[in-house]
Amino acid sequence: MSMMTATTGARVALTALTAWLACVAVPAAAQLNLVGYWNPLFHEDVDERIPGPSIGDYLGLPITDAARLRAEAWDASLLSMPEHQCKPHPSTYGFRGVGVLRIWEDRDEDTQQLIKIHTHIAWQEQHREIWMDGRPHPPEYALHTWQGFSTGSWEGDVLVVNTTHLKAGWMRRNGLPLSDRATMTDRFHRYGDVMTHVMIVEDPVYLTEPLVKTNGFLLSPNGSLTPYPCDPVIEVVRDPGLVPHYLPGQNPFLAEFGETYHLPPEATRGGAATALPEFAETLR
Amino acid sequence: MSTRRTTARVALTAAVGAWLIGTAQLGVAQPAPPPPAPPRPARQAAPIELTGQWVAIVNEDWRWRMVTPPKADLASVPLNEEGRRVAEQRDPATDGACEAYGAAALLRMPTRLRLRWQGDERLVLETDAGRQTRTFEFGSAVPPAQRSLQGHSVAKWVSPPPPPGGPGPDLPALSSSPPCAILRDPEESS
Repeated sequence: MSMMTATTGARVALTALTAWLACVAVPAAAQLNLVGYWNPLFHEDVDERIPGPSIGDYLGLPITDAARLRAEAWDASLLSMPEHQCKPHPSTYGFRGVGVLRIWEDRDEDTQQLIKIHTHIAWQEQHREIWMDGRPHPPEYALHTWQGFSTGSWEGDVLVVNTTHLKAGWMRRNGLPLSDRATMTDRFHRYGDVMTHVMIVEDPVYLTEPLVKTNGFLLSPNGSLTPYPCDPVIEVVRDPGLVPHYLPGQNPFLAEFGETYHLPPEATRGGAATALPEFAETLR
Repeated sequence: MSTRRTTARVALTAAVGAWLIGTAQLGVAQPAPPPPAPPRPARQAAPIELTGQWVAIVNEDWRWRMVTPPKADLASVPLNEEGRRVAEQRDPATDGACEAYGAAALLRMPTRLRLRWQGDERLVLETDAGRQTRTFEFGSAVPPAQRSLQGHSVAKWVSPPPPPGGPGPDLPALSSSPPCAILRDPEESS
């Protein structure tokens, strides 16, 4: 067989293989379509999510002593510094925010296989990519980002997502930190036009137990997103090198939340025990 | 000429083979599926194991769940005008003690609970908060004549079974006939 014939044969075989792939390839087992615009519902933790969390409110959160110490040193003025003005929420917190959520898919044009699901929240342009093609997570030394590296799969009608490679961020925007060793498993359940997002965050540095939160969303057929360009500016003129903070024991605002709602410090300081039913008995 | 014929034969064979394999994969030429098996009892058909002892982890809405919220603190509950009117008129000092444990709010309470099967078609949920019992009827149970705090709940399993090792579908329940219950148990205004 000549070289030309061998090439033709290879081309024929490749064509046949392509034809076979086209016949057998079916879309990934995506049992549910999450594509669209979703408006957040605030039926959970509205105090934290609409006006923003109070200083010193750690109720029911399974935080470590280190997390509490960092939070008590936090000064909200930090957010006015140019270096902090354009920080987006990490993916472990963004779904609790106030912005519209848009979800869309990337599919292979030839096979229609689902490659990736995107989520995007307007505020600070929180854009998350969820790989659906079975690829592994990169090694630990790979880049850590605000949204992390996410892979997803379907369990029945539920989209289950695993996220690693997060930057050091926050579990609540009142100073409660989250480390760059945190990971998250989130699950998207859809019931008609309502979606429940369940997030389970684990952090060996700042959590003693997994933190479980739920967020409701309502489908918005006429939804839209607006751009959110962010350019840092000098909001407050400060001496060079000054970083707003409180030294241990010197934060004057820590007691305000408990005093407002008549809650004792042992409750507002959080910890896993404050989430259990038995703790309610200690408050009577 | 002979080479061209060979190439054409290879192409034809490959294309037919690909088509046959492809259609077989897609099930085009498959025989008719067998008739569906009769439904199994709900207990046997349960794709997930819910029975056992559970504890509420109150790490959201703590302020409304672990302590009695102030009267008229209705934040985030999508009440209509009538709901708001009733909530604002309520006097915790004069009503019964159990309304907060109705079906709509029971699982938001700080509670330990037990789930168990009673027969093959009834799942029973018992809580220590308010000492309530709620039943999920999978069969054709007749609704009770009297209303109750937990109402009458009809349940079914939905969604395809998950892959082995994964968690399963949810258990939706439709509850009807609750008496006048409340979503939050407000404290007396000071």
